[in-house]
Amino acid sequence: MKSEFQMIEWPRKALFDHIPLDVIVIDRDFTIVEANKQAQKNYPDWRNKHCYELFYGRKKRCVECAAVKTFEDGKTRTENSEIKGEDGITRYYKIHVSAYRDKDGNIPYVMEMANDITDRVNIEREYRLLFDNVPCYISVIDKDFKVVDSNDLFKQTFSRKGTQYCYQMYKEREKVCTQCPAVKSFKTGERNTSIQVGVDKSGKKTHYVVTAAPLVANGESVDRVIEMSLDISEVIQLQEKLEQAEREKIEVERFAAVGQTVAGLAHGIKNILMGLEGGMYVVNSGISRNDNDLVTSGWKMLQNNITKISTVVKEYLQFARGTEIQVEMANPAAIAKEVFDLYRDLAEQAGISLTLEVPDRVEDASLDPQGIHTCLANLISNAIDACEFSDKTRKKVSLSCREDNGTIVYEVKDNGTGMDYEVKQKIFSNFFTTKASGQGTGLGLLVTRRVVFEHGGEVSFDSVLRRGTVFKIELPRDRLPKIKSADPKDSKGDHNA
Amino acid sequence: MKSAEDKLRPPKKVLIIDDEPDIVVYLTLLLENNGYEVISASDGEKGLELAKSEDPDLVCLDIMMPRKSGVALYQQIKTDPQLKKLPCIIISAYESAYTFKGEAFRRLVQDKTIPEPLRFFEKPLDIPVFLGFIDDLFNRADER
Repeated sequence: MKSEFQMIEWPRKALFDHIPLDVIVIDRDFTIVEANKQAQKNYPDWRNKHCYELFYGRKKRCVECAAVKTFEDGKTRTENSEIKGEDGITRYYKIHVSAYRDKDGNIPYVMEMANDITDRVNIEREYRLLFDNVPCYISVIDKDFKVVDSNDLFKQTFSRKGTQYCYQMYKEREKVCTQCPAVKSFKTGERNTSIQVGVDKSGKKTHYVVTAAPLVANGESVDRVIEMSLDISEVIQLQEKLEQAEREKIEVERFAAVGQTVAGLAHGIKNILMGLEGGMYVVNSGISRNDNDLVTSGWKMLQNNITKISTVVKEYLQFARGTEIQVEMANPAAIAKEVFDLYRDLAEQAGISLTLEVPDRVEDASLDPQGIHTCLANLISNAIDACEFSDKTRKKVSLSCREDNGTIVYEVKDNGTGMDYEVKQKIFSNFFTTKASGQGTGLGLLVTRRVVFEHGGEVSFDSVLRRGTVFKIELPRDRLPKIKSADPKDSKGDHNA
Repeated sequence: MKSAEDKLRPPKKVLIIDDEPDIVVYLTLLLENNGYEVISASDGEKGLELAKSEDPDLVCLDIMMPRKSGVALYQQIKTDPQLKKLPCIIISAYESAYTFKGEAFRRLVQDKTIPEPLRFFEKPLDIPVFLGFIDDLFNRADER
């Protein structure tokens, strides 16, 4: 029996046969009456089989069947179908169903074209799996900031009942955030990244770094943006803890410095006390011997030691009081230059060659310029003294400033007396001075160390007896104090997704 | 105060080495008033010279001095064949006397042949203790 379908002419027949899809024609009994070459190849025993029998191994026709509807209304429709092959592998098809009408308008046949979309479905599944399981929050938003798709982690963390906009989900806001990276991506078609603070479902503050990238960019306009966020709360917490520890360390060091100074103050005062007792003893001896010269000499001792105690106490008070540093943007090299200019003449008079080495360019840094000035002045003054004590003919002091891997480094180098073991042990610990009486209180290095600590830096030195000494101040830029902002608002908390 | 018997003996000679002129004046007068002969130096170098040339019976040594520190000088005295038996006491404003005792002293002075100083006195001086110690030292020395 020949169906009408077998009568079609060559061009149509050729198209029918060679189209790279499985194409079959069924009659109203769902019996396959025609199959193109590809269908014949894939299903060699197709003849006189019902479609449900051939494709699904069923005895009755499928409950949901697009062909039934097309036989009824003649409309073209598509349906998705899964077919399990003999090899056990499921394949996925998009089936296009259309009606064949005869001269009288009846529909004796329906043609089904099956497009194998298994590869696409599998790729989509893999992407979905990746999308859902990647350990970051992913949401796709449309131009109204409505979340049109999101992965499991995002849903678990941010999806709240009755919310549909990203700003509601990420931040419990009712308006689009002011610094939204997605807004920029919609506008520019480019990727934007920023760090934001949001609130998760349980109300916990969450820090995340979010990248917004245009998802659908067809030529001119961006229809959707994908937001990918990585939770960095733990990193931020760790960073905050580190910063806190750093601050505490500096505080402890400062207290230690003050503590040592108090201990050192006692040391300084003991010397003076002995001088005062000595003065008294000499005056008394002079009185009892009726020796006016001795009385005068004792009185001078008293005066001398009273002057000393007043100097020491004043310096100590200055040291103890000046705990707040005044931070501003300043040029590290310029400070070195100022100190150099201040000491050049003094050094020259003492027969010492003072030199300055600074690079052409050092970036400004947040420093207390007055504090750093004091430190360098103390070190230079010490270096000059060390040279004065020395019997070398060519006395040299050099001051340098440089930047070394993000650390500002000052060095003060002299070829003076150098220090022996016990001096090295004591220089930072006390009102320690090797200078003759009245020439130093021993506070200079303590003040220097305190200021440097307050800048998050370190002072170190290297000294060889009779060869000279190098003092080094190292200030890592990432530990420098922050300039107190004029705007008290913490901008971090207002970041937006 | 010295007894009549004491006065017959030649006075003991004390060398004071301290960079503080006030302390030198004070200790000089104090020791002279108590029957000692006193010589003094304001730094370690001069002190060492005097120790050699004047043959003192006792050295009173300060620690923190410019140029040569008291500890360096002490080591020099104690390793000098001529001077090593010379009694030395330290007078310093150091917070702790223990700096010159035991392990702390050995950290300062690695040479184990060098003995610890005879005595450490903290500034300001406790005068009766100081004078008592020196008197005892010389009486003991004379009794031997």
